[in-house]
Amino acid sequence: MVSNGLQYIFLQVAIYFLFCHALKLDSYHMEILIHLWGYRRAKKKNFPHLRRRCHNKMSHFLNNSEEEMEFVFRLNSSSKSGSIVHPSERFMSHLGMYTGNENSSHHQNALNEINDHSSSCHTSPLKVLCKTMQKQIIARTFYGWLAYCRHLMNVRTHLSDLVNETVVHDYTPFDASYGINRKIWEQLFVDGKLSSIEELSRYVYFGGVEPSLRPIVWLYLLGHYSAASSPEEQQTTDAVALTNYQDIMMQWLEVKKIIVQREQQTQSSVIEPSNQTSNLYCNFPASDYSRAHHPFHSLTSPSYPSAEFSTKTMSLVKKKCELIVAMEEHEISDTGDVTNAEKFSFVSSKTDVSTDPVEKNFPIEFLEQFALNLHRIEKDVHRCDRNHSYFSESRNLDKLRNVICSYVWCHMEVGYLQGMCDIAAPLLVVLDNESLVYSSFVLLMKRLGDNFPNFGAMDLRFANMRLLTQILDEELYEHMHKDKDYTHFYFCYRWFLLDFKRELSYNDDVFAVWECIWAARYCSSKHFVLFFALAMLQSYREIILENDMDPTDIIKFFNEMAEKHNAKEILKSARNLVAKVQLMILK
Amino acid sequence: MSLKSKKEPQPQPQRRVFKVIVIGDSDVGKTCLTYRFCSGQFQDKTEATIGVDFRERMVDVDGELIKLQLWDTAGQERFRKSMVPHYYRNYSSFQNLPAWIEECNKYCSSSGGIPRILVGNKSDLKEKSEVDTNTAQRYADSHCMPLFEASAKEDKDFANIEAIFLTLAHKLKCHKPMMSGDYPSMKRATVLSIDKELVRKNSDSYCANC
Repeated sequence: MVSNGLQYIFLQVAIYFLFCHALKLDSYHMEILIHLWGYRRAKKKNFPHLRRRCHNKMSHFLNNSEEEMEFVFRLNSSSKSGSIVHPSERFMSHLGMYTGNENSSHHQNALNEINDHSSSCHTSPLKVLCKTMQKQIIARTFYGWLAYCRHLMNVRTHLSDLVNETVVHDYTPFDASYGINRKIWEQLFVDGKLSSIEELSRYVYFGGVEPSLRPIVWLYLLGHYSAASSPEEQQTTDAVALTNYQDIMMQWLEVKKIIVQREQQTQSSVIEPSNQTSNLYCNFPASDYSRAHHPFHSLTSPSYPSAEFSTKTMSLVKKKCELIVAMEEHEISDTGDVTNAEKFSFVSSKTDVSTDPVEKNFPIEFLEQFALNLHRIEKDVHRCDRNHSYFSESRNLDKLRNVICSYVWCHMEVGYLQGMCDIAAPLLVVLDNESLVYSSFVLLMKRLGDNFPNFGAMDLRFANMRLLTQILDEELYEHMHKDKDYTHFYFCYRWFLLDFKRELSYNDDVFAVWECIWAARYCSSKHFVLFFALAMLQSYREIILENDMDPTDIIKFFNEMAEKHNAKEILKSARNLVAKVQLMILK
Repeated sequence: MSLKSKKEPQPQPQRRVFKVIVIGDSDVGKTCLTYRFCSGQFQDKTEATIGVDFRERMVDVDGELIKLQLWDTAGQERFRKSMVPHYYRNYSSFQNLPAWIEECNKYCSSSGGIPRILVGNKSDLKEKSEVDTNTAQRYADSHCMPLFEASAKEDKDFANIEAIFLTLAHKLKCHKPMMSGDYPSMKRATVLSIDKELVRKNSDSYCANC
């Protein structure tokens, strides 16, 4: 198989011809047969076959049409044969049957040339012809090989972008294969600061994280806390994140209120085209909003995220909340008896609040756009991970909705896209803190966001995946190459969009794979997802090859296999694949 | 030989596959509908479909065993910009039908009449119904589609669900003679479903020999 990324096809051909030359091909007792890899027919064959037959087997060939199909060319010595078939004619006859792939196009060129040449010296002695042919073939093969090497150089250059240059091992400086536990976690800190994010990543990458330490480790890995931050700085970071999140919440909740009002007005004033299709707004019962999403209510209610902070930041958060409430009460103290919602309107602090502040500041299109997003979010939040105990509680679904709405509010140009809930949900399960989840989600979406439709990064993922498969698993690649639908790698769509969240079982596997992907950035590859994807594909390679699965089979297969994969094994082979590519590039 | 076999008609009759694509707004029950038909079960807690999924079931159409392959798509609107104003004002999957039909036509128009069926799902939620049967029927008629109202949730409605897809399979089979014999014949059918509360259009199915 392919050991270092080089396919030795051309090298083998060159050596082969040199070998023939040494054996004195022109002794007329030779017959050269270059056997073309008939991958279309022989599905299970993993490699081109180069066969050399030292006996006259003309009759065999003539009778075996199946084999004939597969030959690029052959050279028949006619000294012992009754019927003389001139090589050039044979070449011609076989050229039409050429079925090779693009990699071999120069073979075809070589053949053409040989044909031309041999035709032109139709009358010259066979010996001269053979010698010329040898030279031609050797030269052509050599050039072909060079071109192939150049191609591989390009591939390597491209591959080198996919992995980090420095190879990190699990055994040095310390054994990292047991991952992060309480003891190691403490060792990683010097004077209250994390000594090295790389070292932390190395432990996570090779051994995972003890569940109780996940929240804090994740915040480091995702970049919410900078590596060298002190505990005080982290408190500040959290406080800023909270304030920021609360601001955003207030902004969109206010707009949401306006939207609900507008809808109620429209509902009462507009006559529907068909009165049977009325009540289009039942999805947004107004009572629901006033109950759960009133900004002021949120700030003080126990269900507000700040009340659920971890004990570490609890006191700080409380202080912060009091501060915010105090500040805002102060700000609005002179506005008399307007409602709390109006008091907290972010618009009111900037502009006059005469009659309809928000509508004055937002074009109708914007409001409609946001309303549409809210509607979509609502539908998806209610069916996100309902099998997980965490989301059986409706207040946790509210948290999820808040995080997503806040994100969409700040990224209206992107809007809500299906899949965002899936990305935010595991963060919420682990961190269980809205403002931290929001901050982490924003950071995570910086990488994942490009995969969503309209951003085009998914095509790049597919292309890289294709390349990686070609280099690391030739046989599988050849299998896929049979059907052009395959090479789109569309079956990986959900894998990349959600970082395998739907493929893996929720409780531990998703978390373990996610943290490994994040840690890999520091110690193996920014594109670890590709390696994980390939490892996942490879773990079923025998099944895929034996059953000769087509692209639809694969989609079906992986959809059925969702949450049944052996994440630990796949992670292990993914790490090995990275190491393999790193080794290749080093060479 | 292997190459040739792809282009030449199969000597022995091969089992045909009819592909049906289910389209419609998100959360109208596309996944549940296909799941019910293919497994007989109701999936209680489905998640939003990401990308595409499909399910298969063998059906007997006039003595011929045919594999019905139901492609379950993600409901997220892919042509959001053009759809937004319309979508927003209505919040109803029924109101979005024209957009879905347009989408369907965009990709299937070349082959002419694609069999379609309109399905109104969630018929168990009668009290929340937004679309009455007459309105839906008129719409379906105007687009030459049969209308079915069904509930993927109700066990007793299973026969109804089967009827949807079997009707489609029949339509596809009848559609076949229009196709050239030598090439993989393409057939398309659209199924639209309206629910009292939600509307879905299902769509296009085609069958191929290869």
